[in-house]
Amino acid sequence: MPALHRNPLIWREWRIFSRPGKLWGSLIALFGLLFLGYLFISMNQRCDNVPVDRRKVFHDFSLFVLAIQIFAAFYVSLGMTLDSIVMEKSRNAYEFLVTLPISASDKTIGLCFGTTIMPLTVLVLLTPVGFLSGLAGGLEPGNLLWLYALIFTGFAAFSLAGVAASNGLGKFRGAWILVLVFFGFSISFMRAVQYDDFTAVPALTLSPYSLFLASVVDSSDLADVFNSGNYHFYSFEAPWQICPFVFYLFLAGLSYATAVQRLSKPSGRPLPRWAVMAAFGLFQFLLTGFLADTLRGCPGGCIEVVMVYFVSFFIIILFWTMFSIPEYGRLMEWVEKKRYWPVRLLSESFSDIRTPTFVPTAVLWLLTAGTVICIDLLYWDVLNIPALLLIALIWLIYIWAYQTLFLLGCQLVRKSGNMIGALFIAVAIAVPLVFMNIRGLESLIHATPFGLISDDVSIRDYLLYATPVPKEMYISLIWAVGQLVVFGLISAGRFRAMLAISPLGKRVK
Amino acid sequence: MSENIITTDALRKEYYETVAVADINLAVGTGEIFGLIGPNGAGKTTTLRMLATTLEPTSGRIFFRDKDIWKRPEKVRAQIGFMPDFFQMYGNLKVYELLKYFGIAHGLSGSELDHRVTEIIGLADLNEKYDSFVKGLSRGMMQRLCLGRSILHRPKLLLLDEPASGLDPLARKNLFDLLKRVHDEGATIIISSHILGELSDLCTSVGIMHNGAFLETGRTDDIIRKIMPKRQIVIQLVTDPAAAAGLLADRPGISEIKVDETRVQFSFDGTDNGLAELNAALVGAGVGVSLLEEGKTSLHELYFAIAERDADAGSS
Repeated sequence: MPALHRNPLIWREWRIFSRPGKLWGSLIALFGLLFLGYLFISMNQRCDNVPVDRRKVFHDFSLFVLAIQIFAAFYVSLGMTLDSIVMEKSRNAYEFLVTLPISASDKTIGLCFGTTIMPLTVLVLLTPVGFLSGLAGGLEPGNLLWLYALIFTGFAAFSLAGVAASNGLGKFRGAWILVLVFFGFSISFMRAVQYDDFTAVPALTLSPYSLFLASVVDSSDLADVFNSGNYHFYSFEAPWQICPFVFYLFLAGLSYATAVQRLSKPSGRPLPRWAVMAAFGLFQFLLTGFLADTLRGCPGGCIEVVMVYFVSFFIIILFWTMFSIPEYGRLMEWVEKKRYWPVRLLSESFSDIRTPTFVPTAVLWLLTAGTVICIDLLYWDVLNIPALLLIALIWLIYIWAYQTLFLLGCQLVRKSGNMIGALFIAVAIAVPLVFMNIRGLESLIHATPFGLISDDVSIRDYLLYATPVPKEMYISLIWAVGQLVVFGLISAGRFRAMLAISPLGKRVK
Repeated sequence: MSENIITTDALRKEYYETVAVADINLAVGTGEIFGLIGPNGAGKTTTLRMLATTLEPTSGRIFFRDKDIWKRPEKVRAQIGFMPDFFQMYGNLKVYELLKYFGIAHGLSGSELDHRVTEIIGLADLNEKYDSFVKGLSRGMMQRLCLGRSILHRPKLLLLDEPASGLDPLARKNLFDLLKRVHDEGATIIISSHILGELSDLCTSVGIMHNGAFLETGRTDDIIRKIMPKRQIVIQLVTDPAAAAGLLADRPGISEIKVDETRVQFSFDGTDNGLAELNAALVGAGVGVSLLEEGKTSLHELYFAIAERDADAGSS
């Protein structure tokens, strides 16, 4: 790997950014902004016959600088990197990028740091200003150092995530709309760090300004978890900042691997499935540890926690399977390869990316269920494990059923198959939920996975007290298996029909 | 190691139900100028993009100097220059900066890079635009700049997709003169076009594509001899051409006689000795022959002969 300064993509962007007019204009604008900020803050503090508190001025000025740096590091860099490969494709220069004789790793680093030269320059130039004025303003040095560590790792994480995502956006030009939505979302729970009962520190990873607030506000105004000695990773005492720091490193590593993998081939090869499983497992391990204080504190509400956990990861895994279904042509190649596809569904799931993702999906779901069991054993010890496993199994069958339904959509309409497949899933969930409001059809809720998270007392008792299996569980199981069988038979029939007319013919790779 | 710089083995590309390239086997010898010709939609661009590693095949393999290109594509890209048919350059870079950018990517640096950039700008006749922004260049200048970018690193193989499209005749001539200079420096060239006339003087071998498959491939002369074995002879006359045509009609090995005001053109399947005897016979019969020459079959004529043959084969 050549040195960063020899990376052609970084060289190219630096060349454009460093044109005298642009560079000087940017520097003048930046320092002009700082000057105006300082002026405004000090004038705001000026009262008749009261001397200006310089310490307060520096304190407020450092917050102003830090706010600019956070905006540049997280939101501006994300928007620019999301647009990076999109711009190459939009201006018909993507083939020039593909044919550059440098490794995919160099292309990733080049796109990441080359595209974000402007926010990176802001970040670097303002760091001594923010740090020194923060110290002069009485901010705690340890918190400042941690905050800067979080800003720089967050910058790397978000920039690399933007590059990884950009390769899958085609020529979509709405990157800044996505950033705006993300900004609004992340600001919305900024003040949660000041609620007394707040413990969900991992959530702050998605809200950079919450991290900022938690780092600069007086500890007496913050939730207890931010005070020294009150935060834990599993049972190990740790500074709360270690949680977002580790998650940013995790996101950076995962995004880097994804971006390199996608840039290694023109069509964009996805991350190997075994890598997705490993990353998911690591994520579950980290999340469980960093949520220790939240989970430990709610044995009374553990059913709700379990259901929130299942619902969240059900949605995430379902989305993953939808994005991982091979495109039509590749799927047909796999189907035609040899006979005995049920066996190959098992044996080739991790070696051949053309294989439908039923087995990897099951592994992800088992990891989720396993995590819930570990949470119970570590923090609560109240749940009936066989009951938990049965619920997890029913949810898994629902995931497979919806996955099959999505596949059916792709088979019916090749070019917009993803949208049709998603529509099928939405209908399969919405129809029972609508009709369950009709008197006498209330049990239709069990035709969806949400039947297991309703306020049904019998299911709650089964989970907590190991009562006999309630009939609602059997109803859910029958509905799940029934849908899987019906969708599966239709899909298999559709495959047979497509094989008869396919131009691909009998071709063995 | 074979003498072929690039070969393909049952190369295929499909888009859903459309077969863009259908199991082609291609072999281009080192030092050749290979013309990939065919109508729009024949599969030329798809083929070139697969050779240039910007598009992955559905099946089949491509070998560059006997090595599979997808094993280490970045190593292959270092030895290939590719000029796509439709592109935009980085308009906010200057001409010399753009070339430097690609030069750095190819591992050039320092004075070697500066020297090579200056050389390429001279070769592409862009000296007066050295310090100009790329977005201010004309279409012809952009094409020459893109070609210059492709040869910056002295590639062993140059892939050009419709390099002269949209250019005026003078610009096209300049471009092809540049290509000849590049070929003289040792590059093998694969060039695609649906304008056959411009490739006639350039190509040493051709591949004629239609509906994703090759109708014929090989050295141009060999294909001409195979498809159109008869020689095209033109006789310029100072006497009545009709009389000469009448004499020729009785001679063996002569067919497709065409007469105009001062010339007679015909197909002849004899040897040079036969041609000399024919000339002597005409002169002896009082025909005023001022010039006897053999016409060169153009790619245009060759392409239509092949297309006609293929159509006949299809209908029978």
